[in-house]
Amino acid sequence: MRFTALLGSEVRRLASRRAVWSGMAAALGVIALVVVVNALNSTGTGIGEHTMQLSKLWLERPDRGNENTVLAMSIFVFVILVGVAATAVGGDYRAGTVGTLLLWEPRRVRVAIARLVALAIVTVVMYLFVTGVLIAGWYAGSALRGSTGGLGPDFWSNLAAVVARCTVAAVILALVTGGLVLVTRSTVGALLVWIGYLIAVEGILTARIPSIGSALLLRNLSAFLTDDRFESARRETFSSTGRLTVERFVTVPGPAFVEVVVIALVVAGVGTALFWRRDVT
Amino acid sequence: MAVIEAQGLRKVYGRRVAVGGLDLEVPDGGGVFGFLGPNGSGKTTTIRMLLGLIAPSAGRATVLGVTPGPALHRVMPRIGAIVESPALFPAFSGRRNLELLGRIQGVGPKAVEAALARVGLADRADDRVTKYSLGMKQRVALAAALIKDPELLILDEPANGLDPQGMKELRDLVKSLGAEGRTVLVSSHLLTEIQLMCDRVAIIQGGVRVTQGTVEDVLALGRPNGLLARVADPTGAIAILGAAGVSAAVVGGAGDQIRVDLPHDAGARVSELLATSGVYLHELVADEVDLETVFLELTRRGPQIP
Repeated sequence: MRFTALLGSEVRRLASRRAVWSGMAAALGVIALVVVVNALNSTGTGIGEHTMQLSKLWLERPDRGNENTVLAMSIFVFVILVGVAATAVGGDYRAGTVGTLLLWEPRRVRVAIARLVALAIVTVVMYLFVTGVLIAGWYAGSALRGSTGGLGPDFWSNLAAVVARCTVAAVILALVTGGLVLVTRSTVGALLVWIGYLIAVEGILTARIPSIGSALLLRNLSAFLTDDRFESARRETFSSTGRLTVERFVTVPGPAFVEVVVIALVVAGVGTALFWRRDVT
Repeated sequence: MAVIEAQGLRKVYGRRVAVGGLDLEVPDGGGVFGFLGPNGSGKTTTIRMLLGLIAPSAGRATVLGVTPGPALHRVMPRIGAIVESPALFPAFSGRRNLELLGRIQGVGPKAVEAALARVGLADRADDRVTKYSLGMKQRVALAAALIKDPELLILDEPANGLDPQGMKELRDLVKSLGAEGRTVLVSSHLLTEIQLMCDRVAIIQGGVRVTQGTVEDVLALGRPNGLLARVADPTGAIAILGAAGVSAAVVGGAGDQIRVDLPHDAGARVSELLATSGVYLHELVADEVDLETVFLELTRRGPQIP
């Protein structure tokens, strides 16, 4: 039994799932809405405030934080992709087909790896397709109802770089979600762990212990996505003399990338190890 | 060599013993092997252990000479299996299910077509699995087990959800698979079906083997064959037979039927004994001991060695 045959079967099965197509339709629907509304609201062909501009797909520093269509839409697509990943992998537990597959390939580590790799492949294809539609739609809207001017010399290469980073981020989020499904053996369980983590750890715990912020997934992902130093948290303390001290916890892109990759591998690894050891009933 | 061998196989969930040290030997050479036991006796758990889906708590087993676990991949292409209810990918058609599974082991569309035809599902193969009845899902699962052209088939309750026609087709199919030289292990609670299709059986209860052997050997563990006679005066008939040294007793609720402890070919003697004393038979039939009777007796009595 060749790994590529198993992977091919997994990719085909995953790509045929209704969740994938529903997620894709939802993402494309919102993108179409955003593009059409922006195009309709565009006031002209100049570089005015309300003009639909191609440059707003990805603004160069220092305006990056103001308007950033690709990144903003990507975050929305990430949410959909997490849902798709949870449903696609969790569907096997719901349908009881985990055992069916093991009657063909009993080497569970192979099965888990094939499934996660298939998930990564489907995620890449989905993200690139959806983002491709966004860029094409935005370009068309800008050309017809706004402006395609005012681009920096490296606009397209920078845009390609941010799309590449977002693609990697999508894969990381999919792998984390896939790993969580292998741990919880349920779509809902994995999503609840995600939500619980965001609220309890990234929210409440980081507010109380700011120093842990730089070690957490979303803050590192933010630094990696923006390719910029990211203030993950700050601690303000007053001395006995009443003097304010501000301590900043900053995440930088390079180490942030390593950290999110390690987090994804650890979660996926734990999921794979549990899948290997647990009974399939 | 045995295709399946288990020694002291045991599975414990917390305090509950699902399989309590099972010994089992399914011989090589083809044929159909019935694996019987009451609900909760550990049949499915045993099958899951044999297929590497769950790890035994103790004991050992081999399937085609390999211990279940990761090494099972060496023999899995030679094993076709259904475990409990048919678990299929619900979003796909029956054909797509088989194609996706077959792809893992390089099984082509011809084998898929042949398997679908063999289980009688070729004309509905392109319908989504969610539209199938339980019996049709069972057929797809059986087709999935067959597309590997396996030498060992492990079928856990394959008749679930099948209508009478489907059960007859399944019985014929399983018998033909056994006749082709494949070994088929069939777990079922439909004892009549098992008796009709199996060469050998093992009966388990409480996760331990009660008995194992050929169907004839196991049937011999039940009460001896006898004759059932319907007469107008059962008490008188029993006295007449008793005087001739033949034991008999009233059976059944109506009170007009007696069971005579003589072999099936002694009907003429019973008829003659009663008729010469003026008692005439209304009916005389063979009282055959079937697997169900033996099963109920054995599972009540505990382990037996044929």
